[in-house]
Amino acid sequence: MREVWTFAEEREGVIRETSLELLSCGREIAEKLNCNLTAVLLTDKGEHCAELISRGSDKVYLAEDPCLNLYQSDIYAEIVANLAVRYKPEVFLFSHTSVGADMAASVAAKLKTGLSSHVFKLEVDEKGLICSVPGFGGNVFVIRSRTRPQMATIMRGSYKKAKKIDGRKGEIIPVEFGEYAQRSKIFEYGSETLRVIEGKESTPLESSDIVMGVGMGACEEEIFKLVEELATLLGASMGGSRPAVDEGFIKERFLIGQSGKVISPKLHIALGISGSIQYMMGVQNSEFILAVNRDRDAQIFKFCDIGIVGDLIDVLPRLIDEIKREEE
Amino acid sequence: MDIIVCIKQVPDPRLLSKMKIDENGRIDRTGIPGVLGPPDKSALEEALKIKERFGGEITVFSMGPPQAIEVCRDALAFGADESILICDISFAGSDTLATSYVLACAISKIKFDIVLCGNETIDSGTGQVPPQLAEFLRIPHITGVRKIEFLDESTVEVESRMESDTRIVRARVPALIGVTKGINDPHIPSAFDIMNAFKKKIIQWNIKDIGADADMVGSLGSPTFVERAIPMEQKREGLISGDLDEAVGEAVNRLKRFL
Repeated sequence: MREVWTFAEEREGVIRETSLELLSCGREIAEKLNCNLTAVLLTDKGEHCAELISRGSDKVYLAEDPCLNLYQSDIYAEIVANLAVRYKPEVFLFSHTSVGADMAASVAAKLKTGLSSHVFKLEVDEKGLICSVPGFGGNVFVIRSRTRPQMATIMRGSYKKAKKIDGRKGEIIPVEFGEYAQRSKIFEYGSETLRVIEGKESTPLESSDIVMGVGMGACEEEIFKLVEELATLLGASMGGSRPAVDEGFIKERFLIGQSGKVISPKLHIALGISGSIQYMMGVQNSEFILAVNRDRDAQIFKFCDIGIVGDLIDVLPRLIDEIKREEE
Repeated sequence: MDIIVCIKQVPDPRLLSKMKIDENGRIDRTGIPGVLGPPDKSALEEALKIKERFGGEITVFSMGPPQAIEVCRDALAFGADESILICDISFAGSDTLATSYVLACAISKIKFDIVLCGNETIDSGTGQVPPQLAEFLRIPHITGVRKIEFLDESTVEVESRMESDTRIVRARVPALIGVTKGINDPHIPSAFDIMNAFKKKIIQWNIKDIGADADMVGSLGSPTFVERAIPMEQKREGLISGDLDEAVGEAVNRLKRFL
């Protein structure tokens, strides 16, 4: 029987939100293929199987062992790939998190199968999965795979969390592996995660009503001072695009976009941002987007609610004055 | 300790948004210079640090078209001992799996203790190659690494980022490490280093030299392919106003409800 698989990522005893988003994505595909949705869970305690079932899994493959309490890249990939060789899923989905991306790539290489990364829209037709990923020049790339299973990593925030349905029934299937059952064997096998240090979960970017995005065009000392002044005036938090991070104006953890934060503020102000799809993936759920760029042809003007064409050095002082007047 | 660094020529990051593509997803790089990607520079810088402590040779591998010889030269200027360009017409259209296979075939030809890669390239940014290359080489891998510390010549301990958390991982060599850009501040090669790099020979290997199976490379050996490229959906009106004072006034007027 054909199956759609999703990898359920657990950290600190909690199923990641992205894995719940993945269940809705997987559910859609499973319905279209008229087949079962399965979650694969590697953990030290299998207490979350019920949650995965209530949120849409028909089956859970459960590998449960104390040595699986932390993410062990080599062992995790080995267990999951062996499982896929045995049960031959049609589709195998991961979230594009650090763990999901790392594991999906290893598993795909072990299975010698195709993998699409950063998928934000997943569809299916008679030929198989249709994976939409951010491309270049304002374009989305549609990626196909010739091999089975068809694998993809799904960008976070692309799907809503699967809803809980009380009383939903499913099957839990224990996975036998055994070989690594002793903690001491992990290091012999490959690399060993010794511990995980918990960091601060969120930056102000995710909770602010107003977020300003700094792009290459705002990466000049004089302009940046004005940007900071505007941020203070609005009580906005500040992030930026990849070039702004590379230029050192914005810290890596305030990177917005495909490989950084995905935000949904009420107002996003994009300053000197060209509007690459990788960036837009991070801000497209904003309620309102104002963009300022001196290049009339900048892509950002296709994706904003209101755009101002002009040099930031001219626009920002006017914007600051006008907002001050408004607030008085 | 013999170190391998894998690099890729990528479009200048400042000009990424200017890149054009045709509807088959082929990238038109005309007028966009190819450069060494920022994470690759960080990988090279880490290699120099490891060499300084343990000695050994740094060998750089790059798979790419003939013009990728430029980044192979950049790597020599940066301090690598040897640069090898893996180049063959049959490699065209390789996806990450085929690319990883080719790199693995080439790397297997020489002796090494550690393989360093940029965690992800700045163009497609899938981050698939480091884990896949490790799979083909049958060695352990750690990605997202922002700190590397060798406990001794055979054991390495690293910090790997996991979103806001940090994973502390230990591995025995040979191993592959995918480094992130923030791991160090790469130096800028001197004019002297750059001139010297032109005196060195860059080795070129083709499919026969690396002993790769022709069925596993290029577009035919790649399980994935770009079927088409379509413009991103526009959900917003994207109004652009004219005169600056007017434009700012109008913008602030529409922003009122957020202030």
